[in-house]
Amino acid sequence: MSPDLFAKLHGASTHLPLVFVASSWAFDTAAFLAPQRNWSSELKNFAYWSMALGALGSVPAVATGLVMSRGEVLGHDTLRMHHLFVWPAFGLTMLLATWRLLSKRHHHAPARWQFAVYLAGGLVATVLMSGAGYWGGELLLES
Amino acid sequence: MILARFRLLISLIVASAALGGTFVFAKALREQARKTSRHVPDAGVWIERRAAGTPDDIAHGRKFYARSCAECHSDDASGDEGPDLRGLPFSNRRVAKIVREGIKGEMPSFRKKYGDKEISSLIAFLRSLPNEDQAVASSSRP
Repeated sequence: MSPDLFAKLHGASTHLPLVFVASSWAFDTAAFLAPQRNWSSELKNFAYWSMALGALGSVPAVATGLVMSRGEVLGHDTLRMHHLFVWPAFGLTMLLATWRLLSKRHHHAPARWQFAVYLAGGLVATVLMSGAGYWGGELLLES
Repeated sequence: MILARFRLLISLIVASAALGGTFVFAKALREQARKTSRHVPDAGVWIERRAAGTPDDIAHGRKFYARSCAECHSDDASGDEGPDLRGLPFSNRRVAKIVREGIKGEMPSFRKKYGDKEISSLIAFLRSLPNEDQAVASSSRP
């Protein structure tokens, strides 16, 4: 199969997890800061589904990237910088998404401090994904 | 109920499995690439496919190389004071950037000396050189 196809698929799929994880973090943070508002539970619901889609979207993004680079997990130079952000971002996103999905049930809702830690993790994941996106862009656009 | 109680542990297991699975997949891809190619896969080739330079480009590049690069990188680019330039694992854009901007404390900038066309000829020449393995194989041939 043409490597160009995977380059295009990678470019198309990488934006989904970044957008979904970042928006999930933003929705959850807004709901966390204003728990008494009417819209708080709606935002939490959006955040829940955004995180689920972000985690699911990160799988094709990672898979197409690996096929594109023939299984290179680190590489040199700019590619190395890209991967140094990608792997922690991917692992953290999977961890946060699983925790968030399992915390949906009200019987075992997480304590407020636990949710604060989750939000801090979400911020780190968003920053790492943005870094991965930045270096990915540098790979294609540096001149 | 149990899932919610052990959510942190389960999350750690899922994240580890995702990363582990990814690296196993990556290893399989590398193995497959090794079987279909004599050389170790070079991700840079996939990111930017290198166009072969014309004989004219290569001849011009050879001149620029002899004038400005051979002193540090040796006549056959196998490296001397500077590193081996055969089979560079970087994209052409990256090589051009290094030639233009230099490396602080290690290599001068050639921005004022060479324009884009000259630099692309220089890169065409570097890409035309055999890499270390090919050079050794051809020198050991009777």
